[in-house]
Amino acid sequence: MRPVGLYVERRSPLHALDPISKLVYAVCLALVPFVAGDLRVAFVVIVGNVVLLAIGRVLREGLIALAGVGFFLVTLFVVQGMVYPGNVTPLVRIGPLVLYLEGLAYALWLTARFVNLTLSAFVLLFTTRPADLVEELVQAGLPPRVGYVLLSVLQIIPSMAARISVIQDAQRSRGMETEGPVWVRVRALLPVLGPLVISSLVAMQERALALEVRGFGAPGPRTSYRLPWRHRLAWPARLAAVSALLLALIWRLAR
Amino acid sequence: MTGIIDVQGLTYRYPTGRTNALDDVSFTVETGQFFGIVGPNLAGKSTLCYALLGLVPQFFRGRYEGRVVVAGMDAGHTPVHELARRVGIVLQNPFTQLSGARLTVEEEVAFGLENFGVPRDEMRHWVEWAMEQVGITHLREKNPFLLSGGELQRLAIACMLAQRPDVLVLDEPTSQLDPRGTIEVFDCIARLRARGLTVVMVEHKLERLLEHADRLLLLAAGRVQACRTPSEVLESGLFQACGLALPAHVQIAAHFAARTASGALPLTVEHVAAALRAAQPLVEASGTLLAHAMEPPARRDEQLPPPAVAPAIALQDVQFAYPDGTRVFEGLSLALGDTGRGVRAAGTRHVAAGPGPIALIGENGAGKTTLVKLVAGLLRPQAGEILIDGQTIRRRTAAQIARTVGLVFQNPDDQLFKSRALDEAMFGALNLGLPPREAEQRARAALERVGLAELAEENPYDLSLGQRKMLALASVLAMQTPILILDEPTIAQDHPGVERIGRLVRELQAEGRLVIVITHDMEFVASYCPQVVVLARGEVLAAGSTRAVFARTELLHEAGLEPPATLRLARALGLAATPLTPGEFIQAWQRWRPGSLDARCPVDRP
Repeated sequence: MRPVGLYVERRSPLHALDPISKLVYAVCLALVPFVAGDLRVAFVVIVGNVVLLAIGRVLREGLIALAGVGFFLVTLFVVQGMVYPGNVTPLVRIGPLVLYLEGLAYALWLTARFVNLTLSAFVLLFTTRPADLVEELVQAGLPPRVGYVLLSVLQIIPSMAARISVIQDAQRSRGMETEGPVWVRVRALLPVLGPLVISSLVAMQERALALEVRGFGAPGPRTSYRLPWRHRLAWPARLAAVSALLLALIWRLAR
Repeated sequence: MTGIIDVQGLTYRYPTGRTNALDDVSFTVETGQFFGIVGPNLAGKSTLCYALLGLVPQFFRGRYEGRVVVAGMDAGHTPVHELARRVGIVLQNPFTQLSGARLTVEEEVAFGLENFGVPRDEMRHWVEWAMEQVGITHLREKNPFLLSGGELQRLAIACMLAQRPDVLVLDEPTSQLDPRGTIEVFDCIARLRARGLTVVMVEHKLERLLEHADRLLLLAAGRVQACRTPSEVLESGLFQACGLALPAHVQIAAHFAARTASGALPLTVEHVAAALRAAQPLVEASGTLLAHAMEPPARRDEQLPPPAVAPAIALQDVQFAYPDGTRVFEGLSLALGDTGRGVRAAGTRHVAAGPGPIALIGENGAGKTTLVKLVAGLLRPQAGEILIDGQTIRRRTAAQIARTVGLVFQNPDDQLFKSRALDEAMFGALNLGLPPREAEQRARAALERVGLAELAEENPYDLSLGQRKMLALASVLAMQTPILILDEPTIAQDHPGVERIGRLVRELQAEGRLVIVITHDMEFVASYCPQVVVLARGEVLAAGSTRAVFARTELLHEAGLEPPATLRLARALGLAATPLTPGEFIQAWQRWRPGSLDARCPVDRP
């Protein structure tokens, strides 16, 4: 059963840092280029994110995931290079196509912000178990019921995926073909979705019942089995992230 | 002693029910008692469990009359979370009992305590204690979703124990477990009971229940048929009248009118052995009890024609590991079915061939289901060859193999999706490309064979679990495959259902099909499967005649299995023979202790 999310199991200083600090970091640093409004700042933050991914020993995974959206970025350069409203200076001519300097510069600016946002998120997502993040948020004041819903979704999605494969097996053993052309695969959907939906509804009722007898509906304050995640660099890291955002604002105002 | 549970005149009907699920049920359970609940399918056993926790009527709604008082609280009106502080329940399916929101076993155990606001230090103490009680301390860091069925079952019990209930209600807590796992759960419950816990347990595995229960409630069609000591209930004849079967060793004790020193019917193998030893001279029992106890189950002595040529399966040096790296088979070689075709070519030392269905047995995780999935083409071996009738299945899709190998999964809800039982039964046959009319004929015939002919127009989801299992079986039967594999067909079946499946597998074998049954039910194997394959940790420990394999009790123990009660009784008495059924035991015992011959001794196996 593969868990939901991008988390990569490694040992690194970044993995050891508490999830909330990484969340604060990801939000602040993703915003820095937008607030600063300067391409140079965006590049500095991108370099910073790349260094952090390397410290977290997930740089390779991060770059591979980024390459996945490479096609979208290339299209962005072509489209903006051709049709950006402020285009005046032709730069490259490929047959009938002309790419303009202004359009390409704008695409670069969009791309820098997008890449930075993605890498900032990767710093959090590649080094933090989603469930750990939710747990910490609950301990920090998120209502436990909201936390439960988030956590159960994280757990139940992979278990449903496992169940789909069991149901597929059960139907294949009754002679249902699932391999071959698209129409064969589409036709095989209903016999899989039917049992999946119905058994999920039944499981939901049983789980609701089980939660009831485990005191989920009990009034009064809840406690937590987990110790809060403590890290000596938690507050310095959060402070640094917020400071970076403030500096970006000052940079913007000072220009 | 005081009554910790008091049920008076409880009548309940589900909102969509046509009849009462419980009808004027009254009983009392004393503090510290082990209270067993038995009955056929649809008797209302689970509903009664829900009523003890207030889930009926508070969760399910419906029409509710009478009064249920548990630990001094009125279960009809006290909020469930209040009742749950004193009463715990372990449901049939341990998987849906998980919170679904905790990453490790220990956090899962703590979930209830968190909800009740128990301070962290206290919580740690009770979580540790609960895990120790059921022996899952070593699993504390594991993800609950990755546990085996047996481990999950113990986790579900630990979750309830951590809440330190005064009363623990268990609804078939061992249905997913192998014999060793079952014994462990019962031992665990016995330890807790010694500390004052009151236990209410619904269980089909009567042998274990009788060992521990102080009192037995016999429920049928929602009504209490009897509520007395286990000996009294078994001797009353009501048990059989409700369609239930006495455990094999109790049948034997009843036949010889064996009694304990206190004059009661002995209920454990050890007590039956002691009573038989003490009986001098042996006498025949008489009266109703004998008539009921020894009625030959499902006419097992009926003579079936010898099987036609059966198909053959050969696995040659098969290696298989799951994508997560779990290695299951490292060079498995096994031959099943007709020795004349394909099997000899396999050149393997493990052969299960000969008349009769083949049982595939072994503890949870031994590789039984993986093996049949390989044969059905649902999994592909990394190395080695699988041959059916001498032909490799390597290049055939699972759907193509399904023309030869019919596999009935353990959980029918993985298959059923039509809104009419008949359509469901036709699904497999239509997939084979048969014209609808022929598919319907075959489906109707298959429904008839599994006893669902009357329910052909019903929605499968209105059927009981036992009936849904029969329907899934019918849909594969209608495909008329030469090979039929059944994964745990007897789970959720009451005695008549088990007998029907037993008869069916023997008939199919006699028709020339190769039938393989995966099961933990050793009594079923002893009665209906003359051939057996014992798997342990991905290896074949033994294969061949069931009698020869079961005679090697040390081998069964190594595989985490327990010989049938009849055989254990024979060993306890020092009999050299290997009787597999009560009838065989009685004959062997009479030969060994002449002077007590009973000409009416039944023959109760094929």
